[in-house]
Amino acid sequence: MNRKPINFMGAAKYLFPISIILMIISLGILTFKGLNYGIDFTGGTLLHLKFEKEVSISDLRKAVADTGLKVRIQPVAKGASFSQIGMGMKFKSDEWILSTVYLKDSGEGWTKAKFIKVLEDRLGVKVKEILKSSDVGPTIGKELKWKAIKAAVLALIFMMIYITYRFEFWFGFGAVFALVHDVLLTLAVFSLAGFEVESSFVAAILTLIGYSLNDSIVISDRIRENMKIRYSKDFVELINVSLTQTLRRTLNTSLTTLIPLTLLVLYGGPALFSFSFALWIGVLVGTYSSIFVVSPIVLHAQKGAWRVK
Amino acid sequence: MYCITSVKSREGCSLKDLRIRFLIILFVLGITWWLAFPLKEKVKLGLDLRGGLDITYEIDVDQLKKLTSDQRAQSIMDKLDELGSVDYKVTVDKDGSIHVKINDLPKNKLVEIEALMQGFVNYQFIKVADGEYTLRFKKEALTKLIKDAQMKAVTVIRNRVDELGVKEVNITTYGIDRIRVQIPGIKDAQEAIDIIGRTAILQFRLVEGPAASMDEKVSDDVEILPEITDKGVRYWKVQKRVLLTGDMLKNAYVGFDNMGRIAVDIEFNSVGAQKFAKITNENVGRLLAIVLDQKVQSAPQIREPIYGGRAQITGNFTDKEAKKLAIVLRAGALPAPLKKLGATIVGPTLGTDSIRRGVKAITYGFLLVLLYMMVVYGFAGVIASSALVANFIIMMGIMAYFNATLTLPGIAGLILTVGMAVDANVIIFERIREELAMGKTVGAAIDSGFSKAFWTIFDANMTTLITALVLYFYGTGPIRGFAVTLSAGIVASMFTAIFMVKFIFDFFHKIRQYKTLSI
Repeated sequence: MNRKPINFMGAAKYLFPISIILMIISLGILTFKGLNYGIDFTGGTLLHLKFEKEVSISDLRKAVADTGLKVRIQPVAKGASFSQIGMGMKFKSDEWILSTVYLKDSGEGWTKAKFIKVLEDRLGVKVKEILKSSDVGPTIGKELKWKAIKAAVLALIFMMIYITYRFEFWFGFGAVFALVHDVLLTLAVFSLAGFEVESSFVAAILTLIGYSLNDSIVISDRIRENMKIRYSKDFVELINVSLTQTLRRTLNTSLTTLIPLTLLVLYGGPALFSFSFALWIGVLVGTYSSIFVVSPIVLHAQKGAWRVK
Repeated sequence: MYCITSVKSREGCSLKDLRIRFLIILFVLGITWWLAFPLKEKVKLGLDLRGGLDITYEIDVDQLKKLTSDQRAQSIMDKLDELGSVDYKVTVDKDGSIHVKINDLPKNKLVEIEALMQGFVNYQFIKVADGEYTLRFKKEALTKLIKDAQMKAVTVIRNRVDELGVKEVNITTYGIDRIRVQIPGIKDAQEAIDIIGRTAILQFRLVEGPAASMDEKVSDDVEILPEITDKGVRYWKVQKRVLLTGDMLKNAYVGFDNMGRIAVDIEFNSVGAQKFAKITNENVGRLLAIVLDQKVQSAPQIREPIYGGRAQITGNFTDKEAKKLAIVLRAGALPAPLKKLGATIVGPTLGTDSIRRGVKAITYGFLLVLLYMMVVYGFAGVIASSALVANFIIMMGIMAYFNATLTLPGIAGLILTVGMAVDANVIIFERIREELAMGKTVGAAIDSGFSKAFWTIFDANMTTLITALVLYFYGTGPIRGFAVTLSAGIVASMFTAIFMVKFIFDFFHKIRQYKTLSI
């Protein structure tokens, strides 16, 4: 190399333990706070309503309280979704997403029509259009959760097999470890923020798994190549060099993926929000972990063997 | 990646080689363009983008067992009547087992009834004693029974949907007991749900007398059913024995009763008409309950035998309700009640809204990435961007060819592949840069850049492909749409990045003989 390699591994000495701590914290957050599961998983009824006039969130909350049902309210913002992320009491909109328990099971003969009528009466504003209505029975909800977990595990197994086949074991282990790191941190962010999680979120996590592996593979590939041509006797230097060589690629790829993702997060609408935001966080964390999580693992696994050669 | 033909000179691949590659690219682009455009007609849109109804049902197996056993019990009782027995008891358990006790038949007649019961394929025949028998469901037979019911339900649902005048419907089955109905672009989704999901099992049964409440104690062969009238709920003691069912109907249509109120007129087929005549003949003066889905619709008195095979179902019908009932009776009853597991109704506005948003995001995302690539990679960036356009065309072509459905997550997948497709180019360009820095000539740098990058790109894309496959098999509807666009995007990007972009590089190098590369 004609310029000095960046000392990534030096920084990794501090960053790697921080990553481990973050993983443990994430696990804690997930265990105690858990995720905000949408009706896809819990079962329930969802109504995406467009009112004839704008309604404030406090009025809507009062109207909902009249029904005696537990209802979650989400405003739909026009244009950019900054307001998706932060909702204040003063928020007003004519488009709302309401989710509640599965109306069929909730007793007192609740139907969607009755529910809407109560809201209309209390608010004094009529519903212009039901943009979307969804009923999910409890059976399907539970199954979806199971299917999601099975899919994630299956994907992980296939990945491990593929990587172990193409690379050596420690590369595979490092890549999967970084992957678990990425998923845990992303889940923790969602848990903290309380964003709703439904079936497309699972798709995002699975995509994240593929993407995170992408990154790890490109870097591992370079490390392996440098090992083959015996670039340096010092393994730490070899890794630093590999990382510096691939840095431009890593940054450019992340940026070109983040640009469309950012647009999706802002303008994709409520249906795609959890999906795109999960990927957005995932790509950020994934880029970090490819450099500072995979390599330290590979380093410590191979260092001994390298010296002997 | 070297030249396709082995002829290679110092200035790069031979002209012939370039020509072949150009033709291949033209061919691929041409076909995919023809497959995919005009987009509006060629690419199928999912329900979340078109609007429509998506509902999943599960067959109520307990009820299915009971109904099947009720029918069998019916045929046993018919046969016993034929043989002249009057002192008998045939009951059906909650789990569908049939218990028969006959007190007044001689052995030679019992043999006949035993033969009949032994002939019931789905049941295990147990002889407790002479005249006392139990029939229980065989496990393997149960699976077949459910599957048959599933198929019959699909047919009935299709008939009902046809009656609604719906042009496009997609009915799929899952496992042995689940049915999913998707109707895109339907205007009155609630009406469709009412008609499709209604069991509509019509039964004609004799009434023993009025009942005071649901809890009144009755004998084994009688049950209490409610009748909902405009003055409230009335209860009847109705014989469990079903004399006639809705599948004996030839026709049903809206009509008026003798007071001018809306009613549903029904017409039996020849077998049904005969039975109807017999029943009305033998039971003049008694009340005949018309039972619809375990509720008494009406219980008129049989004033005289009816030979014409026509009857009328009265009740508190509105015009709409009567129409719905007629439709449902004409199409046939479901083999068993269907439990609604989940339903989604997407309005048409939301669909077009989502598409608009998606298109906006794709366009802006594409433009921004294009800009970025040009800034960072110069001329090579322009080439990479042209590859993106080609990418899009090929992706749409693949989707149109496989008749894949584009869903909202699918659009997100399209947007994602913009970023991921660029990745392949980035890997290659960075490699070429390095090769140039190492002192290789432009031609050599291009070649080794592409060949060294190939396996990296392949590995990286394989993992995303594995993800897409898992998503396809795990996911339903919208998620599948995402998996499909993702896979199409990967395939397209591998072709454009490795084959097409290399061609463009080789082509320009051949005619310009670059000494340095803007990359």
